[in-house]
Amino acid sequence: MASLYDTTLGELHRFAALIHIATATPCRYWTGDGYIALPGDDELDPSGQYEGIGVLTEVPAFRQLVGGAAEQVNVTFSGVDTIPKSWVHDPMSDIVGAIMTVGIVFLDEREQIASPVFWIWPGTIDVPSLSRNGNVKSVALTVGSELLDRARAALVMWTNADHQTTHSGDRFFERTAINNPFSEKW
Amino acid sequence: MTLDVFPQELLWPNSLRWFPSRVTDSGGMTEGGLERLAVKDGGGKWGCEYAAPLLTVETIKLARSLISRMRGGSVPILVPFYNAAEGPYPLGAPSDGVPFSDGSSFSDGSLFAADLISISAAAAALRATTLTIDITVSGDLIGGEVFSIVHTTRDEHAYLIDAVNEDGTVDIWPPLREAIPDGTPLNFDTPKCKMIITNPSDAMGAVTPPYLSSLSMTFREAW
Repeated sequence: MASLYDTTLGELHRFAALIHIATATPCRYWTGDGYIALPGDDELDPSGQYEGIGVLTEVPAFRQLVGGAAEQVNVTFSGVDTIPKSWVHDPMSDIVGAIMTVGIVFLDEREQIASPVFWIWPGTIDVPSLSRNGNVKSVALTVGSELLDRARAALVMWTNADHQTTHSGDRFFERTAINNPFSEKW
Repeated sequence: MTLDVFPQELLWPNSLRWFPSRVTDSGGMTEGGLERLAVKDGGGKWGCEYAAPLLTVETIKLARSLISRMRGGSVPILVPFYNAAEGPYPLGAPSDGVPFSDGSSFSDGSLFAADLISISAAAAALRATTLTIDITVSGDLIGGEVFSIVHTTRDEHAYLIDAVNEDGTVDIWPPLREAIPDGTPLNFDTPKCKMIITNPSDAMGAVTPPYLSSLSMTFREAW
């Protein structure tokens, strides 16, 4: 099985990153120009066709996550294109919770695919956001790796606000803060 | 959508540059003076710099309306590659047209327009960079010729022959923007490329006495 670290691949100085978003209608973008179709035996997305037409604007650096490490990154898309805008504005969008997978592919001197796609980083999409910097509008997807939730703080304070999100109007935890200075010894 | 064609015959360029637009990363210069480059654009795209003088009121108005119709770069246009000097014409240059069989012309003196170069390609996949061609009428291909293909769904795009192989194939750049069927005609006479303008605000210069201006446009390939 080909490895990302094959010495022969190290001689291929042409590569591109691919982003696959597993929404109901998958979103497929790559950092190259124009369109590219993956081989029919690709392990994630056989024959998937990826767009490089200016929608994917920035792929951040990813870390190799070992020993339970986790990270959260932002992937940036064009804020003037329909699909990224729908992630922010469409209440029926299924982008939150969708799996995003980042891959890398090497090309030969004739710009043809010369390696399998190495799908190296899967994450879960959290929150899309729209921002403007001057006349540049962009949509950022916050994507967390698999163990992100486990990497959060071990102790979390349960507040009345947390309770109200699921039990609106229930006053049971209303006075939690008042009891804060007291510890109950059992 | 039917795309406008840039009226090159009305706005003749005094400077024209087509170039491959590539994106590279460098690994830095070594102490021995070597540098390794990595290309990450998946093949690149065309860029074009087009400059033309505007010496009459008519050309100034034409240029102004043209820039307006490009809507700040949001509406693509077909930009012709100036092939009169470089096309592989059998006699080395394009002719003015084809007369009637008795040698006469139309009442206004014009002749039948005809593609003087007839080359087609066999079926090829998306992003193919080698084409098997069938030459019906053409001069010698030596590499460096530019042609265009009208794709089924992705409009017209220009391609450069960067090598002519002994087995009857040609290597092209950039990779095909869409798969093509058998017998696809390759337009060497009037190749054009779907592009958008990238400097709409600065494309037209000021009008100076005695009412002259200039056009200086930068385009990049569009999808």
